[in-house]
Amino acid sequence: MSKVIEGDRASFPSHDPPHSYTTFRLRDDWFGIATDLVKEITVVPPLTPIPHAPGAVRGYVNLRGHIVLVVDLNCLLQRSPAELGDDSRLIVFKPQMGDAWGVLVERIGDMVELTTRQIESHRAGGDGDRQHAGLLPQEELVHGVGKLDGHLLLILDACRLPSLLEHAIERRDQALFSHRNKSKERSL
Amino acid sequence: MTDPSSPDPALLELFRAELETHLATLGSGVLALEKSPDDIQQLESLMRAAHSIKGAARIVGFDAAVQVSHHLEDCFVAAQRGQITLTSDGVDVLLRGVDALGRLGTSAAAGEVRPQSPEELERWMDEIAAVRSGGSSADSTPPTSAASEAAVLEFVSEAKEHLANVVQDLLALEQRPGEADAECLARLLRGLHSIKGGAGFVGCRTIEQLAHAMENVLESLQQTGTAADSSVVDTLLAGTDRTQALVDDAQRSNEADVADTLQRLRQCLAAPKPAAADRVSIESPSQQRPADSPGAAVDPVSSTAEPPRGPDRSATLRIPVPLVDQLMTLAGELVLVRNQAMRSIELGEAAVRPVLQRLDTLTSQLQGAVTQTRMQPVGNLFARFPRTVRDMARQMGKSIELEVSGTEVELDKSVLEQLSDPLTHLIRNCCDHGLESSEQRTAAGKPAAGRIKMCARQQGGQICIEIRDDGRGINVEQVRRKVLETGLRTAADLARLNDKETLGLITLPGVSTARQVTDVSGRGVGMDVVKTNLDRLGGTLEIDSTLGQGTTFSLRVPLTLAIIPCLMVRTQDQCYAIPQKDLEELVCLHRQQDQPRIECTMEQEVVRLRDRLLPLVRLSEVLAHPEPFDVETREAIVRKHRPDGETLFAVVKVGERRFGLIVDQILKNEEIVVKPMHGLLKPLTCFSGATILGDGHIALILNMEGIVQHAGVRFAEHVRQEPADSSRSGETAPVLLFRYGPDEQFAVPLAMIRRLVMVDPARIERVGSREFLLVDGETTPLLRLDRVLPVSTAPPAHPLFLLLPKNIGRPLGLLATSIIDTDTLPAGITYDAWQADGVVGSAVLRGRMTLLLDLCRLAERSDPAEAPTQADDARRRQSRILVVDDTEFFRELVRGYLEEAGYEAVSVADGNRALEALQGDTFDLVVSDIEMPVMDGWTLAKTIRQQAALADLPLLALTTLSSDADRDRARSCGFNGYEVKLDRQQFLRTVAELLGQKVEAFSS
Repeated sequence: MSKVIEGDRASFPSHDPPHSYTTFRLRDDWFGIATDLVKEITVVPPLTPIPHAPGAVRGYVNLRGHIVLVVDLNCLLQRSPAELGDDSRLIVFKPQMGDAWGVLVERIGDMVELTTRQIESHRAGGDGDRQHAGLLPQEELVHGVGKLDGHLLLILDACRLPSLLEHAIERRDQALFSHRNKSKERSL
Repeated sequence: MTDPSSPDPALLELFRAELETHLATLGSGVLALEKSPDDIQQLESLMRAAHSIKGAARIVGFDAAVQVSHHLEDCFVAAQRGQITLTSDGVDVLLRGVDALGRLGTSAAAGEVRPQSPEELERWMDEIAAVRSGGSSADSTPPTSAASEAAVLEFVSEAKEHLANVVQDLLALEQRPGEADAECLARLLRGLHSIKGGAGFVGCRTIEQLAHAMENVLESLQQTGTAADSSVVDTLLAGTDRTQALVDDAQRSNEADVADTLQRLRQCLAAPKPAAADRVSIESPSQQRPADSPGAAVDPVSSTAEPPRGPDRSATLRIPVPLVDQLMTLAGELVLVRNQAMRSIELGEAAVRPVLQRLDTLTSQLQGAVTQTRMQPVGNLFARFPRTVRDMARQMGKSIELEVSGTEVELDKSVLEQLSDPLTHLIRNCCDHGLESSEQRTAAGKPAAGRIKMCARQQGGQICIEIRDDGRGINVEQVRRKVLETGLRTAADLARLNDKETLGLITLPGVSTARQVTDVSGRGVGMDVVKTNLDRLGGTLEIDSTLGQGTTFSLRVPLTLAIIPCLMVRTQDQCYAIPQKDLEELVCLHRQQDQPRIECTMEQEVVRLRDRLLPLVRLSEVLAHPEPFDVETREAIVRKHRPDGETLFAVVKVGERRFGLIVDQILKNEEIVVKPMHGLLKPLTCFSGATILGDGHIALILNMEGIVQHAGVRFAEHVRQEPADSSRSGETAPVLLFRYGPDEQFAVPLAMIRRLVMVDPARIERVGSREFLLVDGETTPLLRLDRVLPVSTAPPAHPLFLLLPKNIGRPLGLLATSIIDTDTLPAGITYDAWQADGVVGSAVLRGRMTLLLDLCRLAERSDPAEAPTQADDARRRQSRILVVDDTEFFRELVRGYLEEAGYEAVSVADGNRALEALQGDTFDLVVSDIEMPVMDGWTLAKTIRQQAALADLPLLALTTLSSDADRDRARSCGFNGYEVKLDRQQFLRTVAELLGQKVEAFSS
């Protein structure tokens, strides 16, 4: 777990302290989000679908007596929906991210410590940026790009996820509606 | 360390709570003063309220509040003594003072003890001084003789509480002699000050003196910044001991001589700077104290230096709301665990069952009790409205009377709080543009003073609050125009709505029919707020208005938000919950000749159920379409579903409208703990929340209003079916078909059943030969048909069903092994001549002989103590009674009851035939149903009353309608009695009473 706290930084202002990131895989890409925001990581309990919700919303789960909203991060990032498998995990966020919710990921990786120097700013327009331009449609989501064991690690600005979800629900974003609803429409 | 000038937030919160309780008294009391300015009792209670606020404000050191309440108190005292007479203007000033206190309370809640606008307060002080100077200035302290015994008792318990704290703080002060603990000192001063104030109020002068002397000592410490050495603390403690003794015997405290104690206290004051000297190290001050104290031997009280007793706790207790909320949540969770345990044990060991049953009972009781702690009378909220109405009336130069009733009805605190805004909006609306000006009213032939009636009553798990004015009413056409202007609905949309639904549109944002925007209302925002608030509560708003006669707003809100009974249904492998409050009945249609069929009108599926067309909505389709239905979708749905086989639907109500919600499967009733939907999913209006079921699964709670909107349900006006065949003897009653033993089929009229529940046979408890089951927290005796009727015994079955009858006045559950269906009784029933055993008759239904049961009679038979009395007297034999009922079943049942009781009974099927019978024959009593074809009970009663020969004929209404409004209407139509179908004994008692009245009338 990250031991980096505000006080340390304050006492060593010139120092560049490492931040902890929780890494996970979606399809063939590795992502990271600030561990500070993560409450727990768990296997995915049985899902109760929520009709009318956009496809990114996979449903509710009962996590030890608490109802948690499960969002498919793949869908939210406008990629094709995640397949649930043995390696699938649910990353549940802390209360500062709003009402209880979490994201589905295909595989969980290690927790890594990176200093800001080790993360290329995505918006700075460096070489790395050009390489992964177009990897995600929502550029503002990417906080930066790091390197991990030779592969790239996209650091997501998780704080932006709730508003992304909110917009998807408000617009009733058709692109984000899942196969679940589509299959039913076809049967009509 | 805290700055002593900014008081403890917890104390401020207490002050605010205290203030709130007294403000209500002040507000309503001052208003009452306007009508009767010299009501001594009223003034007395006002004075007390102001005084209490003053005391509380002093404790927290809130000077502005002290001053305001002090001035108010002064005025009340002067008025009480007849020194001044309060005019309307005076009352205005007083009311503004009350308002100022309210605002101060609000700032106190924010931790602020300075008034927000001191200038305004200054002005008010001048005004109140003017009011006050109406008489000679006299001292403001209330006369000691006025102090009642109760006040003294209150003072004693308060003083004890303060003294206990004072002692603790003194000891703390001694422990830390180095630095004068400012917070501690301030607390001490406040405590002593309160004691002093209280003592002064009840006239205990000696205690007042002691407290004052101690206060002086502490004040000198505070001002000089000297540390309290142990000798000073000793003296102070001796002083508190003395005070304690006096408080214990407060009534005689003035006789005591405290000169020595006062003297010692004064000495402390005289030498307030021990400086560096005498900084005694203190190991154990409380033990040292009696020995060190020079006055110990003299002072008999300090020798009994036991620790001061804790404050007297009265029967009530203030609990922080978050704690109650937490209890509520925990109780809710416990209910869930209970449900899970009950479910997992269904297959489990027998030894665990009694324990579980106990757990079940206790959980229900706990949940009930915890819910109760949050209940508050609605009167707490209503109390503010007389004031609102008065102010608005004065402001607008109207004359308005407000009538409030049902204040004792209790509601969950959180619901009550959220109702405050909507109700205020509605009341202000009524005052502003609901009611006309006095001139307009007089011109329209109405009384000059407008009337607003506000009433609350409980209906099942809901509270209904009605606000009714007798003003100009709302112009429906104007609403239509306005809605069109705003573009929120199209003309086609509007054409589909009836008047009442159109009125409902005034809750849309931006729609206001007020001709001008006043500073009070008219911007079209208010009603939107009302609707939003009610939606959040799961409540509904209905608007009824007659142009020129007035408007009625009916709000319905749930009693509590936390736990609600629901029916669980299944559609496409998912469980959904339908709140019981939305549910009317469950219907299963088979594809048979005699069954109502699903028809299509336009692109809406409907079914003709009894006398009305019921629109149908398929839950599966609602769930499958994320977008609200458009015409194509609706047509596609109608094309897709060809009614075949069984169709199962729940009849649900949204306001006064009904529709059928088709589901795949009905599961069971369950009490669920409501969890709100995730904040981001609020736009999904078809769901009002989610819950975790006993088996750990999650179910979404359906929101019927949202579903109606989503599916665009078209409601047809109710259609009344003319009886197809006039030779047929009236309407047929819907019945529930069920089985007990393997050989017979039974039927009970649906109108007689309150509820049907599924039960686990393992939960039945036996006492001797009798069986009981806990249903909704009530011990319900069970009735097995084979015990009271010569029918076959039940095979072991799981689960069993329990029929809970309506209106029989005692708990009872009729056991059934399987529920077959509901059906309507065909013509051609054989009615038994003698119905005493509880079987009304028999008929062939669904190809089987079916026994029609009389639940009421069965209930009597199951309980030996309730055995029917067979005694009949001479008068009964002479009495002839006419029974009017369109339902053959009830007609025969009632006739049977009457004949068996020794009366002569004749029965007819409707009002017209009743009139014919009355022309040709004489009767002593008419028992009539209300809802009948051709001529209903209302008309029948009115017609009878118009005929001189029949003017004295007693009329008894016997109906399934049970609302107060119906009772009132029956009375105004001319009925002498009113009975709800059908408690046999109660019915016969009323019959006897009505006949008795007539006999007496003749003999006198």
